[in-house]
Amino acid sequence: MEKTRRIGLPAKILMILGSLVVIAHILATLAFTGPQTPLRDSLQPALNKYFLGPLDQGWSLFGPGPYSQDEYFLMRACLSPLEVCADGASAGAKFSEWRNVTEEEMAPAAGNIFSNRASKQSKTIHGRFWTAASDLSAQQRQLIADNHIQGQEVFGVELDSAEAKQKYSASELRNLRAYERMETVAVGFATLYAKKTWGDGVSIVEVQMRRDPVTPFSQRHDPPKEQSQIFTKIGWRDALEFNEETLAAWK
Amino acid sequence: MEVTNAQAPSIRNWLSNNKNAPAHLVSKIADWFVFNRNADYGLAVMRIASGTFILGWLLINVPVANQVWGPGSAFWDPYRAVLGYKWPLDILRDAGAGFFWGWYSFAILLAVAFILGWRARLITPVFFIFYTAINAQNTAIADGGNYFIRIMLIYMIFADISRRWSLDARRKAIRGSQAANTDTQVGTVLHNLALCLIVAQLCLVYFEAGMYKVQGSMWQNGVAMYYPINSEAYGVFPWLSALLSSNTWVVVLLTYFTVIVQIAFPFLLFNRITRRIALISILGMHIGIAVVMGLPFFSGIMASADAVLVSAGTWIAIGTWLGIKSRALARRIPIVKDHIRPEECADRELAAEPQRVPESEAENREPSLV
Repeated sequence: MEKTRRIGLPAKILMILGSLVVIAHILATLAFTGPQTPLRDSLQPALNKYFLGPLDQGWSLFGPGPYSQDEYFLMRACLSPLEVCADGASAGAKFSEWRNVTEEEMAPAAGNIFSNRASKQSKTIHGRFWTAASDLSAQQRQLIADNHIQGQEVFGVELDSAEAKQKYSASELRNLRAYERMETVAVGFATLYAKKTWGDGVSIVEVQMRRDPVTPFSQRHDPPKEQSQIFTKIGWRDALEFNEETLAAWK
Repeated sequence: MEVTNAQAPSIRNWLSNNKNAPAHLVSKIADWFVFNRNADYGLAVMRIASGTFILGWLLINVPVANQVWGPGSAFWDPYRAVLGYKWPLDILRDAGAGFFWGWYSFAILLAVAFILGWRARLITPVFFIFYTAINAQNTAIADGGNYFIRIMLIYMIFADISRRWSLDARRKAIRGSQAANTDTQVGTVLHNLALCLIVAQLCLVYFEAGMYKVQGSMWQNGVAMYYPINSEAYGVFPWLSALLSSNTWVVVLLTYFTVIVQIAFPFLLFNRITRRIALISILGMHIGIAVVMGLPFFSGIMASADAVLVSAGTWIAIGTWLGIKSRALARRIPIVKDHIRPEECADRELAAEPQRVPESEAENREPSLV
């Protein structure tokens, strides 16, 4: 005799409500990770809020444009006291040579698919910094290439101040803050790298992000002799302060 | 004559014959959700494989962990301040080296427990917290595999991932029939909802990755594959990249294969034969990405989730075959051979006979897979 199987009420309720939640979540994920559409825009800012934190994701994975350039993080430092560095080499300031941090980091990863993540630190900073800098105007890009030391604000104003709200529109301010965050990350990384390399005497650092496009497919058998390079430059900045534990992790 | 009229093909007859079809369909779907914890072997393989990849990832990064995710990552603080990770996922932000190393070491132990399927109901959410808190320290350095498994761990919290091939399953088996049927309907529904989320997320990732690619001119021209593998970051073996890029046909076919497989993946799952083609193709793609582009963690994590799409029968056959091979290997190692008594060998020979899934069980499982 066939045994009749009954579905309990809690299971029924869970099945119905759970299915609705699953469908809503997947549709939201599709909207959040998909291309920019009016539908997606209409769901903002709720969509961004929902996917903030542990649900954050993006699946373009080498699309629409594949990764087609080498990205390098270059830096140098001034190894004299800040006041001496501010007056330049003529005042006796000692400057380090330029270092290609990305190349140095990636050297142990060559031919090794199981390399650790330290080999990609500067490259990941480069990627995010470049995107943030690309959203700036030509005038603002000139400002970031200039030197701003001894506490000078890069954009001439503290970005969280009322003055900044008057000077810039809301979208401009959003872009500037996003840039400032990434510049601080880049300068912080350069500071730690410089202190690891040249010791605690580092007072200011200068960073350049360089992109070398991969030789075009059509020229791969006969690559051009001169490799083109694109730069985004951060002028001299004050070295950042870090606590002992952070410094110890880099030594 | 009446019989002939009744069978005449017409919309009315079809509707009349199938008037109960919607009710049957709803009933079938409800049964699928309530009476069987589907893809239990697939989820076991996903647990073991993804756990192993996370464990490997944690161990490989031990020499640099303090710098990349520990106090050494403080320079990321302005960036991670806006990422939205709340307590306990941001617990490492101000942590010292001692606390960080304690956390990292415990994450390694949790990975082992996760692989073994030990107290999975408790371990999975704790593992998610430990793993995600480490990643939240430096999300920029994470690859697609880190992102994907973080989301999968959330879904796996609700699934019965230690039902097969685990210490939990072993403990239940030792307790015997008394505790054999402890599955609750609510637990089963949650398990199957989690399975739906896993499969939907998997399909979404492949489909969107393909759709983004198809919009790019380099993918349309069939040369996109050439570029990343010839960059310093993703061309781990320059000689291999050069070999693959030397022939235009190879580049174009690999480029188109990648796009087509990713977009077609969700649609190929509906039929058993095309599902196998999809899984083999996507596995081939992952192996290629792992070796040529040096992304074994990303590829391994993605491939481990694909395991839920493989039927229970296939996994049992693979498990049995692996069991036979490992026992044969063990008998060749003198120290192990000395510890196996002749009667044990005989028992194991018998046990090594390929297991068959009971027909009733197989009937329940096969159609239930996506």
